[in-house]
Amino acid sequence: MKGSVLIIGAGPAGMRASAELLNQGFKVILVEEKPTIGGKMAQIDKMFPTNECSTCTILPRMLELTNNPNMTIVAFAETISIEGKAGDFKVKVIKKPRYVDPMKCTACTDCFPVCPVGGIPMEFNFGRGVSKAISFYSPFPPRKALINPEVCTYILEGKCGEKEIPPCVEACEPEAIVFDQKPVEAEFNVGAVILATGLDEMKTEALEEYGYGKFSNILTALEYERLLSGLGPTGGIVKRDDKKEPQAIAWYVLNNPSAVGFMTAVAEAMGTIERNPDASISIFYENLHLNREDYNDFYSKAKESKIKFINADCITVAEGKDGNVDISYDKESFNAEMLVLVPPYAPNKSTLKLAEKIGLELDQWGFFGKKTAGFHPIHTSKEGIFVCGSAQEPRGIDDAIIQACSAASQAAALLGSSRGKEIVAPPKKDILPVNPEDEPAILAIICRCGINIAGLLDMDELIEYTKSLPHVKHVELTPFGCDGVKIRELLKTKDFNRLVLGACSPKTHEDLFFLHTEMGGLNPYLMEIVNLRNQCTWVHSTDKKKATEKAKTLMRMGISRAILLESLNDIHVPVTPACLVIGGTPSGIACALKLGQAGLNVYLVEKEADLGEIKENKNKLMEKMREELNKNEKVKVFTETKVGRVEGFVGNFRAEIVKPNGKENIDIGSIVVATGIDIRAVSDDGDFEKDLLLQRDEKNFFVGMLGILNPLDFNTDGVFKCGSARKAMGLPDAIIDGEGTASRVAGVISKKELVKSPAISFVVDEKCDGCAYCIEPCTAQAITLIEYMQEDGSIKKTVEVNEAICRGCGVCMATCPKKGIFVRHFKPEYFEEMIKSVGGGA
Amino acid sequence: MPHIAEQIDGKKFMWDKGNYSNEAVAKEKMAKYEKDGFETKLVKEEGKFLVYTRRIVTEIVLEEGGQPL
Repeated sequence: MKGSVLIIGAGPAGMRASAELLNQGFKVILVEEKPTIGGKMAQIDKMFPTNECSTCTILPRMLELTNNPNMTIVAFAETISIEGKAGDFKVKVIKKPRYVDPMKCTACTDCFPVCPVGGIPMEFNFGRGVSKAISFYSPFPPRKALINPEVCTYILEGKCGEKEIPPCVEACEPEAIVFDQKPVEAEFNVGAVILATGLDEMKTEALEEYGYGKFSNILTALEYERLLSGLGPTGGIVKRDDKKEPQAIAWYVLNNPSAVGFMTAVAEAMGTIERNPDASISIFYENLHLNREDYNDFYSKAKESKIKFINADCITVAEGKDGNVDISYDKESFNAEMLVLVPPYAPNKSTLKLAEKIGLELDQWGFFGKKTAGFHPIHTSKEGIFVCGSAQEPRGIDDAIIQACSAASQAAALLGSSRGKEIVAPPKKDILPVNPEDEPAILAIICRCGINIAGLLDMDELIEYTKSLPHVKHVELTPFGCDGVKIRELLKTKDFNRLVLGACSPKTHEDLFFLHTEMGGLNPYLMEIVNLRNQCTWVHSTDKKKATEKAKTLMRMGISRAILLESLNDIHVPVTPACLVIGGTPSGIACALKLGQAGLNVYLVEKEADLGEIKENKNKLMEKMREELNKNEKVKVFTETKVGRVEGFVGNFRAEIVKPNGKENIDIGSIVVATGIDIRAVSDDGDFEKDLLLQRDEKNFFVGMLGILNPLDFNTDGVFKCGSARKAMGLPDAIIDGEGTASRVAGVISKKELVKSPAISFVVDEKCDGCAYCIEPCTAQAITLIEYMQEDGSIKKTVEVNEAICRGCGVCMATCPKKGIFVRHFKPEYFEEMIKSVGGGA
Repeated sequence: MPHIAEQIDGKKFMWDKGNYSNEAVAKEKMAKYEKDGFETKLVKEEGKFLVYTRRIVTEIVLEEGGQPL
């Protein structure tokens, strides 16, 4: 049995399945047919229904994968065969020639300006925007140049201009250009395969009926996304090919069996209104299939705006004056300056090719769909080959994420005995020793963030100003700080002992910047992020001068704090390798079973006499799962049992379970809430919801972590939710939810220890007099009051912090009247200096 | 100067500020503290014997005046 998994397709589902499996101790090979990863999520602007920025969300996840030593990304490659059986597959792929050695290319771009072949339409932007014959395929990783053999004159004609040696070769210092590169076959031996090949817009003749390809200014929805994107060919300003900014834009959602098409149109229309509140927007649609409450909420919000929704069975499209589009419907007409067609979706072309090669059955629409997959929606007609995301059927990104987690848990259940066998330890870190008394030498890196920051601020002024601040040794401007290239390159010189990043939000990017800083050889706690994007350019988008002044102030504050920062080391906490699943619902059963099959210990607690006693359980898949659950020795089932008090923290919880014959304490590393549609029941036995700081919405569903990538997570680390505990859903979705949650849990309890941030509370014993004001407010119950003896017989008091429990929230620091307790990395004097610096002094 | 606090066996112990010149005197002091319900630890540092103690307070009484927020 192999301990590695091959995933085909590097869109959001393939990437998430990769991340889940890496987190559980499996090696991953991710094969992508395009030269860069990210799939359609990398091409779209905002995601529905949360309206989150797609690029900002996916880019950090991409970079985490590319920096993981157990991850092999094989981009620009095609899978040609999968042979063998579950646990032992041999997968052959052909790597297409890039004509650039990716191991040597440093992404310096020196070859681009010297290439004489320009004006090449960019495939990533669907033909809009131009590049040279040698270029990056997209702004995303792997960020390596490639040569288009269809336009490169050296490849086509054997010469480039008058020169014998092509200028790109002369310009390339690392000698990465390889004109005689040929397709290379590679073989991987893996235990399981996950198909995440995604979807495409169905560009059939039906689109031509609506003028696509015949008239100007008629685009598909995906093409329009590139115009909305700040990284797109028009820098995020919607423009027609004649450069005109359209004021009247229409969408037409063609007959689309899923909700994805309609929601895409709504999200794009909302994005357009955000940019241009005066735009006239209409959405024509044939039918509405909004199968989710949050989709309905998003639609309702859009209806409240000035977007006009028109239900039209049919529209007719004619070429108008000045490149406009005349739309007729129900005896009315609309003159649009641009028409966006939202076609139905079809499986990615590679899906069909792959299915044929490996003999997999497809559903009537050509997806690896549930109709042909036997009973389980994630399974295919071949054991050990699983499917997730839109390769299974068109779906929103959050649904694709849950499916990816489920597919990961299927693979982990199959390969549980080989967990950890093929992975390698991360390379030893070469960290620069920095003592508090060392003179600060600050490297400031300011990120353009596409147009997000550089589009508004006067960057020259900001750079010059930052150079003038105390202890700043060098200021660097970078297109994207999150790619880590400049951070690592400059820190590796060891010339700097502090890093200040003028970039985006620590909320989304801190982990990634920590990683880059550490890889550059600097303790990550010597890095300070200044949020120039969310806290400046996004909120002051109309006033360049004032925004630049504020950016200067923010940089000044960040540098004043950075001067005081100290090196800190991670805390390692042991993990109890077991999980408590609360609720014997279908999702609870699915979660417990997958964990048990993966070789992990589970306590499944159900308050009723029978597990999952609901009518849908007559479903054959459910019956089979219950049988397997009964046989699995790793799963201990308690019926007629409630959960009482719960204490502890991720990796180390203790729960009291109240059985008919008495109470018992169980130790677990993680907890899953799978209680179904259930109202909160508080009894004398305890209230686990309060103990775990869980929250419900007005409809009684549990709510958790924000963000489209976190549908199964609570804000309390190590606690997860699934099935109808989080939203109303049918049986197949509840099963996938439960299995997806199993993957989240396994990411915690399959590890021997968890690495915890050192940014937690620290007691200054010389100042603490044991007044105990900090104890009751501590939400983590991490503080204990202790007494100690003095030689003279007097007794003194102080407090003790349980580092494993402390969350570093800082409430204790706020309550302490003596400055006797603070959160490391957030000392009061850091803030005092920042506040002082607002007035001008650094 | 010895550390005022030491983590020993995963617990925080506090120094009693005494520098005991021999082990017997230190142990005598420890026995006295233990009688009052304190946990004790002996640490030898630079030829001196240091005594560390701790006792968990179960009943917490806040000073009058309320929480100083």
